[in-house]
Amino acid sequence: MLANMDNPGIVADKESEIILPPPTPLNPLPAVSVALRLDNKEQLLTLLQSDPSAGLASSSFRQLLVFGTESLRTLLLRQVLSDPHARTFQGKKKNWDSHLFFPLPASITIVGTQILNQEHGGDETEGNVDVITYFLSPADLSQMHLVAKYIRNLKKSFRIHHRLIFLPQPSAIIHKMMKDLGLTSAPNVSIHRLQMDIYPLETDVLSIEYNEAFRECAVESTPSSLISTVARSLLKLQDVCGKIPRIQAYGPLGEEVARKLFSLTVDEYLADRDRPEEQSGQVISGGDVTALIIIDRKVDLVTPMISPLTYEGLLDDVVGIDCGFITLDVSTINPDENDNTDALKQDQVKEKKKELVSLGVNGSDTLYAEVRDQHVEKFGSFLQNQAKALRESHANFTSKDKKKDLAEIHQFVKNIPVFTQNLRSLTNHIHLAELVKHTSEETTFRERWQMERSILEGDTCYDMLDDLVACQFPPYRFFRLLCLQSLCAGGIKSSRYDSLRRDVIQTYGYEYLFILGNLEKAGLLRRRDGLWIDTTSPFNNLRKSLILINAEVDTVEPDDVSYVSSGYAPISVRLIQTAMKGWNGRDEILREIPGRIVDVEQHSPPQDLASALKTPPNKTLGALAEVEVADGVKGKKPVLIVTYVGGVTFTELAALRFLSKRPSFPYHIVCLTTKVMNGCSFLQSLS
Amino acid sequence: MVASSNPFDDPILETETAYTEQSSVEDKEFSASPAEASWQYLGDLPYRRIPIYSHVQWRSSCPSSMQQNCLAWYPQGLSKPQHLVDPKEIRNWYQTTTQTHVKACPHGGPIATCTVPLTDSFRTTQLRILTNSGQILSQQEFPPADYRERYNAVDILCLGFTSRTTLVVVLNDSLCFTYNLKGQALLQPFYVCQESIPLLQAKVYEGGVAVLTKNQDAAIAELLDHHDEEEYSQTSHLSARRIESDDLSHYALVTILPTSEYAKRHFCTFSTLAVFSRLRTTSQHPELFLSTSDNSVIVVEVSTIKMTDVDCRVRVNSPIVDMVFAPNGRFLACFTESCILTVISTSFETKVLDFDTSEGSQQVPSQMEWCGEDSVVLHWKGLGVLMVGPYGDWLRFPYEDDTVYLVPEIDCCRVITDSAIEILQRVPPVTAQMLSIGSIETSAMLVDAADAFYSGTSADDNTVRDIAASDQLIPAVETCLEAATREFDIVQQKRLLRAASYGMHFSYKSIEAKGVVQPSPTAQEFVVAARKLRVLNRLRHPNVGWIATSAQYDTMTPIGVVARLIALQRPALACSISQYLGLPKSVQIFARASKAAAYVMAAEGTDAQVAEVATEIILGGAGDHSLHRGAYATVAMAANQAGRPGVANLLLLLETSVVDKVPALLSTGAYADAMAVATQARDLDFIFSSLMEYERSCLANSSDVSKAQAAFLGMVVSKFTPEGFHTLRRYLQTTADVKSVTNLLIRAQQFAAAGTAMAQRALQEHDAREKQGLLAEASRIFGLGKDTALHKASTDDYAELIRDQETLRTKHNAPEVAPPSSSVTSTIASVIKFAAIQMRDQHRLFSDAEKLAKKYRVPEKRFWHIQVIALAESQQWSNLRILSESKTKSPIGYKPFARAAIRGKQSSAEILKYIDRVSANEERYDLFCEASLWKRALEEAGKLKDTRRVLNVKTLCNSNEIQLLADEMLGRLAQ
Repeated sequence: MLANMDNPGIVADKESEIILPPPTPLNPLPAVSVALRLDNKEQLLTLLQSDPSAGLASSSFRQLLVFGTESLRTLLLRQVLSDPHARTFQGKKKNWDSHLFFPLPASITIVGTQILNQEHGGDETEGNVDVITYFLSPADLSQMHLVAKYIRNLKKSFRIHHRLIFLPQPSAIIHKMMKDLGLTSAPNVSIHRLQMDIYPLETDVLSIEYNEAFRECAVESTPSSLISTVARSLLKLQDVCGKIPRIQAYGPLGEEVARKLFSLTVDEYLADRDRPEEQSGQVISGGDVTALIIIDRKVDLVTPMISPLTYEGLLDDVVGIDCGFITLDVSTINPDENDNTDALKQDQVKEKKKELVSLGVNGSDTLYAEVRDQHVEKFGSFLQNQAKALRESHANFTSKDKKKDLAEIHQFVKNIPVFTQNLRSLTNHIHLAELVKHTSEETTFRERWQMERSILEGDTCYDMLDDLVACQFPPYRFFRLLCLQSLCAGGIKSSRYDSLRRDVIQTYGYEYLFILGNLEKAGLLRRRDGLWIDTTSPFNNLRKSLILINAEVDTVEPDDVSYVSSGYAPISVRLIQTAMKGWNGRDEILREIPGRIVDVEQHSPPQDLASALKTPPNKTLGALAEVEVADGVKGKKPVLIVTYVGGVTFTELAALRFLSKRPSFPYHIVCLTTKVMNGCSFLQSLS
Repeated sequence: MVASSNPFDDPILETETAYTEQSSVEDKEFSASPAEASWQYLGDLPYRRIPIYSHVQWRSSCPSSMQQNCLAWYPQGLSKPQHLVDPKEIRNWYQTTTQTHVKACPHGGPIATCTVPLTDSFRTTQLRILTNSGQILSQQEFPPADYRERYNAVDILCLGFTSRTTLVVVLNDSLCFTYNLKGQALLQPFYVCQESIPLLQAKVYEGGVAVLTKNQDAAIAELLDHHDEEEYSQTSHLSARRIESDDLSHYALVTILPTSEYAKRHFCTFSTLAVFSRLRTTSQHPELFLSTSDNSVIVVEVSTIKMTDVDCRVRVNSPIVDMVFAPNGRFLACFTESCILTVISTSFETKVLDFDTSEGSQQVPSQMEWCGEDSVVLHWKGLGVLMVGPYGDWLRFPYEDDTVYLVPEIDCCRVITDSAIEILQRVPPVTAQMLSIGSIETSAMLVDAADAFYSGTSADDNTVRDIAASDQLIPAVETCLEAATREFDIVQQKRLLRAASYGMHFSYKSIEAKGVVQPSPTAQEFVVAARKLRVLNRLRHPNVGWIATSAQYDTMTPIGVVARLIALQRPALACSISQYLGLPKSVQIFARASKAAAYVMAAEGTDAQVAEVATEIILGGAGDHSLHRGAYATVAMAANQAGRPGVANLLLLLETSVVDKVPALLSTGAYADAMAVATQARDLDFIFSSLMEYERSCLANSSDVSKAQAAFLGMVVSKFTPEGFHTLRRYLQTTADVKSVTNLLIRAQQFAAAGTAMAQRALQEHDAREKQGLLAEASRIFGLGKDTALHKASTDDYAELIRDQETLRTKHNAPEVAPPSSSVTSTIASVIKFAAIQMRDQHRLFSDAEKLAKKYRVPEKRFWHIQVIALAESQQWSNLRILSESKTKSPIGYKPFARAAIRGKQSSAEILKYIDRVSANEERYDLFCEASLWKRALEEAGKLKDTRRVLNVKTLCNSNEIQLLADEMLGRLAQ
């Protein structure tokens, strides 16, 4: 029997019930995220439900889930298995889950969940588990050793079946390692794949969740797996939303992804030998998406190093957002009112009941959707006003002097669920905003920002860097500034470079020698040998030609993308803006971007990239959008998918959303990325 | 419904009487209708025996000294007893000491044969695959050389073909060999279940093999290939093992079914098994039927290991010893211990038949098979073949010698004997109606009229006109066509086709009257039937030796026929058939590629000539290379196998499909090219498999392992793409021995990376000695490079630091004075912090810290910072004061002191002491703000005359008094 037939309630044909919302700037392709989400959920559920193990009589089996990383657990259990956008919470106050509680379907017996590299009591699980399911990433080879160790520890009981799930699929290296580790011959170990490819984190943010992306190509120099994974994901995306007629790619990886995408399309086409003959070389038309821009992270390494100044960016910086969730102590968002007076006592209480909770932060929360991209100078007062408005509307109703008719009462009662939901969300975010503001008002934060700005403007701050190491500034925060300095000035002066590296190793430890090595390999850090003058650095040229610094930007009522960091516009976003007008005569920009710019159209029957490049498109992206608008429904902008190969930051997401909402920008934007990240997680992924 | 009479009680006489009676009647009334004469009736259903090939010479390619007896084969060394001289006796003796397995591919396909000694009288045997006409397709010695140490011929338990023409040989301990028709192994031999327990029974079914062990456990191995959906193996049982062939095209899914637990729980044993094909089950996975000693059957669902007792005890009165499913999967023939043949529906709900054979023989038949869908054929040694029909009717067929092998087919039963092959078949209903004696069917009348017409008798065509008038002509023509396709005799085929054509003359004209030029549907059917017959006759020709019936042809579909022909090594025929039938392009391309491959294998001439001809064969007239992607690689592989790498290379130049090109390049030994193609295509799996393939070939070509390794690494470094190199590096990094990766990196002159790999291993090492050793080695490697001075120095420092930490710990006899850490700063800091605990030793500790700082050349400024932070963190506030008041002026100023005090929540007086020593107003302002000393901050802002700072204080201070002051100041500044 197929597993899902046992539980028709869960994976039943749900399409009929789904009512798609109309496209909006923040949800330009409503069908895509819904379809992907359904498909992912069905795949995962089928897998989890399949296979009652050794238990002969009972069809239920007890399962322990082990995840390669915490992030993967959040992704699969909180994002895939239950839609966080549709989740409702019972009760008045709570809208979060305890950190280790996951909304799992009742039909599956899951004993518990673990993270692979964390210490765990292997013995206690042994008694009551039939199946251990491991979720692993094929790119992280070290996980295999951990799994082997884990299995070896449980060797005593053969009864337990181990199944290794690779997302999206195990590579040849994994198979070989399994063989080396003696796992292939074991009868109670099996290998599976879970081809989920794309996870819709938001209606306008799709993630491939390829954590190792930048490391694999920049440090390990093995970009193939990343390139083909991204290309395959784009192919899948096109299966859902139709072929995309126009493709632009920036940076070496962008070109490679485009090449692989074209060759996969050709392969797919030619695999069907008995297809009808096609003669003409028409440009494809008729999909939901008009254009695709693929950006290699290497094109813009500066932006991740910059401190974000939007609410979401800061929240990520301070608390850390992973796969749309933040994990924090419950007292942060729900402090006990009574203890609030005595700070010391509160500390003690905190010690006692430090309860971690997971709170979803996503765009289906209307309040969050509004506040997430606001600048630090705005969101505080915004939240206060919201609170005031909410209180007023409540007071208006409850005050006795006004008379109300039945309709009004009815209306009010109807709004109560919305009201409580907003109230919950508002309380959360007021507390979080306090926390974030507190951090952003700290002197160190301000000093950091000022230093970033002066580096961006072309200054060198070696002395300040020296001081920061000496003060034992957190290592990755320091690396952000160090890399920023190197990127902006085209390297670190040779004499300073050696002493800085020595300081780093002595201060943070010997292992940082290799991290520095990796940063060098990735091009984030380099030695600059004497003779050059500062102004020759590519960044300095780009700063001028792309107008990256806009110090006069209005942060409260923004008029330019640079508001996201109070005056610096992310390079990648400026490139997208410039791309709308076309690249003719903008050689001074092109020269400073690694690799070449690929600008092609997809034809039918498909051709490879080399032949596609022979017929360059004659319209700029902006002109293309105008044609689309003229043809289509009035007021509806065509859709542009921006793909970041190597990760995207919240700063950029905020900027892209800003563009998407602007009437002057010709497209609605959906962002596809290998991972949503920030400067620290970006640098950490390289070590 | 037990048959009343004993079937073995002189049956020949009875049937023969019936036979003569019928034929005599026939003789009287019809002069030329021999068709029915050969029919025999089972109840009222006619059956016929169709001899296909008589006097078959079962060929063998072994030396003539070997003794071969038809399908059996005996080694020279098998000495027969001296006293036996009569050839019949000798044969008898052989038959009692050996057993010959004969199995055939379904749908009229080739035959596999293998003679196994009953005792250990010879060690190896010949495994032969032959066509029905006796031509040899492959022959090999069995067991294969690698397995001769452990296994003998006597270990062969069973063999058989799956529906995909895979030959499966199972040994007693469940070791399973799989071969294609060329006799090439498909999968590495694998054990179906635990090897230690011998098997009771093994059965090859259409999808693989199922076994039953002596300790009552069962297991099933499903043989799958790339034609099966990948999802299938995903939905298989969790414990299913997957065994893959080297090229990943074939794989086996082995599921062990723990049936012994069930047997123990229910106090029974299992005696036989049968597999219900996954095509017919609701789970879409196979089900295993096991007969129990308590007269029942349990069904095991392979995908869930769910076991159900069907409880047929009322219907069966003794344990079942043999079970066979009917070709349509609706019935199951069971033979019980008490010699009763029971036919029961697969659901065990309806019993169709009970037939007692005990009076004829007390033994279990040596073979029991279905003949088509409505009769069961049984064979006992020495007693001949018995056929039993659905209503208990039976027939006995005599066979001269006792070597009879039955092969069930979907519409008939193939009977293989030592010298002949024939088909036992129920006469197809259309044929029976038409050709039976005295038939008044319109089709029969049409045949008669046609016969008369063509024989030149001046017959009037009124009969046909009458048929046409009654609208029966077209059905009659169609019946003729249908019957023609079911005939084996070409004369008869022609006769029926001619009759159809004769009939069409009458029908066709009436249609044409309206001026429609299109051929009528009947005419099209005629063409289809004629084509089909041509193909079938070609296949049945002894030089192909494939005896497919029309129904089997339809089941296989023309594409399947072409695929099987290629498997049969008849690509040229496959090619012309695919073209003749106008099959889809992909099939034609495949057939052409196979033909080209066969050509290349045999061709002579220069590389260029051969490649050109091969290319022409592949293209087959169509000039588009991209359409034929994959075909070139296939042919190139064949060329390479035939020792023509030059041809292979020429062909590969035309190949555009990466999936096909990389394996082909690997097989030609062009590893670097394969790597280049794989890298270009961005396929990590191909990159990695190219590496592994090359390593394997290096190791295979050299006896010296270390030399082979060196050659391998050298080639990877010099000839392979960078990504190939890095992929290998990544893989080697995961292996236990760090040397393997450092060797590679050193060979590539990447000393920094090599040293790093070594040093990182050192960081993971817990044993102090090992760690030092690894660090020393890392330092040595760093020493080899040019830009690795810092690396070397840091590594040496680290090694030194570990030793210093150790010394400190022993000196102060406390682990916390210098816990293991890799940073100089943290070591100094921990020493200083330890002073908070060990007040007495403060001075010694501080001097130790200073010594460390000096030794590791920690700059003055940084050392001060470290001291400030460490002192503050360990709450040594007085020592911090002392430090600030030391004679040397602080090189870092007093801001860090102030900050430490603020963060350490010290009293304002304490904080102010430090802030007062800070000179810059801005810094003072910042510090006052940080310390929430708003009044002082306001003063500084005032000194700086900075309204923004004043405003800032005003918003942050949260005090009315200060806000007033701020306002005042703002007023003053505004003036």
